Amino acid sequence: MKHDGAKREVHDNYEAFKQLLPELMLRIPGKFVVLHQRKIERSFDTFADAVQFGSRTFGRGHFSVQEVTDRVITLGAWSYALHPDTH
Amino acid sequence: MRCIPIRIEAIGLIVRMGLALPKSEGGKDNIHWIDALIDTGATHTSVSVEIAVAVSLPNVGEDEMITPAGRVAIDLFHGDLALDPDMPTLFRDRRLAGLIHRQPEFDAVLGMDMLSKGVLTFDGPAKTATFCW
Repeated sequence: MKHDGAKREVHDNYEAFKQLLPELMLRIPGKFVVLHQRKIERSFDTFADAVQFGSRTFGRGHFSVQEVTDRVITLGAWSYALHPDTH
Repeated sequence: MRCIPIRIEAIGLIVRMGLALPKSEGGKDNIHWIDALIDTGATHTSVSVEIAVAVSLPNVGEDEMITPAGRVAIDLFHGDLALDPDMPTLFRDRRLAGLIHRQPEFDAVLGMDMLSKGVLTFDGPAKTATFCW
């Protein structure tokens, strides 16, 4: 999958986040972390606080927010319409 | 308490859901109304990527979701949500999963993150359903 600009920032941050997740689960489970250029900048209790900080500090497209959790998203009936090669 | 009617259709329970560029991102509360499937099996509220891009919602993360065929990478968007077209008070700064495939019957899924905020009632004999919060 190719990425450019803001999408690249989000994707690179996510790859870095996955590497850090086991340690973060021990330290700050349930928090929302703001990432910028593959580094965690701050953590917050809510998604809203995290995105507002990220937008104010780095600007749209220059940060991402990830939840520190080992729960995986399920999307109910819609999940059955998808195939792993679709993204 | 505020209540909204839900349509009972062949595919399931359908509700009107409003999407807007977040006010915290400079949005002016211009709400784009779409049909959403109510799905208690969905952990997150989600919207088709096509709609998210049309409303200019910021892509603020990635995650993985479970499908019967394995895990699929998805985008996460940041948006403001509304559920009542008559009094569109917005739920601010919501996290929305992006869906790749657009369905003919609906453009979004209202998941447990939003449903857990209220009471969903289904009256079989009367063939009506409501969501109140």
